[in-house]
Amino acid sequence: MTRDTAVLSVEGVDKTFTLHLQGSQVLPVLRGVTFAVPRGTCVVLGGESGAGKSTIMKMVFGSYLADSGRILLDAAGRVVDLATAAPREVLAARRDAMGYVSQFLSAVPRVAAIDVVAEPLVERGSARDAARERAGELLERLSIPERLWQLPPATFSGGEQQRVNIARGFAAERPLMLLDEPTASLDARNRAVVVDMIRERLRAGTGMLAICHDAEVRDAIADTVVDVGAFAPARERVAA
Amino acid sequence: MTSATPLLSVTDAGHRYGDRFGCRGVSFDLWPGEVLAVVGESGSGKSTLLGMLSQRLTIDEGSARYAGSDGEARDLSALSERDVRRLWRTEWGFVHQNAADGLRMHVSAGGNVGEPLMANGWRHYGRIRERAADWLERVEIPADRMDDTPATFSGGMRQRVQIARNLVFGPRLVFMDEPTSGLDVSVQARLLDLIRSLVADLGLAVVVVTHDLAVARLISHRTVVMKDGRVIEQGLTDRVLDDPQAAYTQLLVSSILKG
Repeated sequence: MTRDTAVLSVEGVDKTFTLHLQGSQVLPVLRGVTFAVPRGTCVVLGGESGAGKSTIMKMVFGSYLADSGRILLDAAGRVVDLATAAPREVLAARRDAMGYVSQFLSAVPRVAAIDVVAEPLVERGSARDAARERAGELLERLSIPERLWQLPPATFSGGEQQRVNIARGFAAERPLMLLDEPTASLDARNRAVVVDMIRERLRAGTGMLAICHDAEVRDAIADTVVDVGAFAPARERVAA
Repeated sequence: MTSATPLLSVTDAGHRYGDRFGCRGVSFDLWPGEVLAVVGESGSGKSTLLGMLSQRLTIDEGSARYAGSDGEARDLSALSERDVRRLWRTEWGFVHQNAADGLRMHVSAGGNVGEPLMANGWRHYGRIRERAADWLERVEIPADRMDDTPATFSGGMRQRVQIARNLVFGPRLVFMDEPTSGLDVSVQARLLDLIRSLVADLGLAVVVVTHDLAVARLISHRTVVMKDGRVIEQGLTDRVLDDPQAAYTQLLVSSILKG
């Protein structure tokens, strides 16, 4: 797969954590991470727990610093290197080009569920009413009862919060989606709905990078599995 | 909200108290719609930085350029006192930690919010009152408290009145000095949420000084970490807080009490 068709190209990315509070202990976790996410495909990061799957996801999203290499996001013909982009460019990329569905809803106190979901659309310039309507459709599809829509999700159950989070991640159509255990606390029925939603987006050309331990969901969505263990620093590979 | 030039562009700026620098070597750009948090402990220089940017303290080295509503970028140090007064009246707001420093405590809430409009040439009493009432509603002050003075309000209400007073005239840049400290936790959450949504709706640029990393995480896009008058680390707020590079930032982040 050439870079022309890839939404995301990760090339030679290293990550080392330096723990200054633990005697400046240096922990190399990833070396030479290289893979691509072509348009319309889902790449799942595989490997043992602790291999660095979430670290890769966070470097792509920009909440972790990449020590070296390139993380190229190609959105509407404009390529940004997220490994070196200025904060303002990363923020613009998050708004316009990449959605992130994490396992947990980040706390937004006092904001109604429907507005939590509509926010990414409003940020991109949609009228609030239209954004709410779209948000309502998504919440309905994910079986969040309408009586909850006007309440802040902080008080919802774990599964409900995760579904609000998924609805938010799917509200805006962006060329790249990052999915971090999108179905972890869902029942079988909602899991199937989310798998359908993911497949629809893939057909529409969205590229997806996912972490997914549920084998059934993984088989249903993955086009490629990248073994993150292959990027372990040499010393640790020997030790393991 | 996009624009080609930053609203505020700070380059290597410093302020000296006698032979000692209160803060030094500060550089950043601030764009419309962005919230920049300046975090650090007492004595870190964060308040000196705020004083310098808001022209209460001199910029003794480096520069800070502000792009005014006329589109022209000017060096803050080169502004006359009259220019600075005009900015405070028409383009800048300042939310103090202690509401009593930013409000007239014995003038009604409505009067406090209407006053900046009068300073901007509004003369029609009915319209001033109407606009003040709108803003008090936006900051969730009950309509029947409009004629009461802030002296009779709770801490959280006072802060909300102060915010209304600072936003009513449509500023472009707002400075906030520990806007939520000293308030109860639930009152803080409400106020932060209000600030967050107002900033987003109005496309304001904000510099907020806080010792509280949770405040930075909740409302800011970017964070500057200061210690001993120097910038230790700066960048996207979630990157600074989730993957801090400097020893001092790691210490600050690890000291947060998890609720």
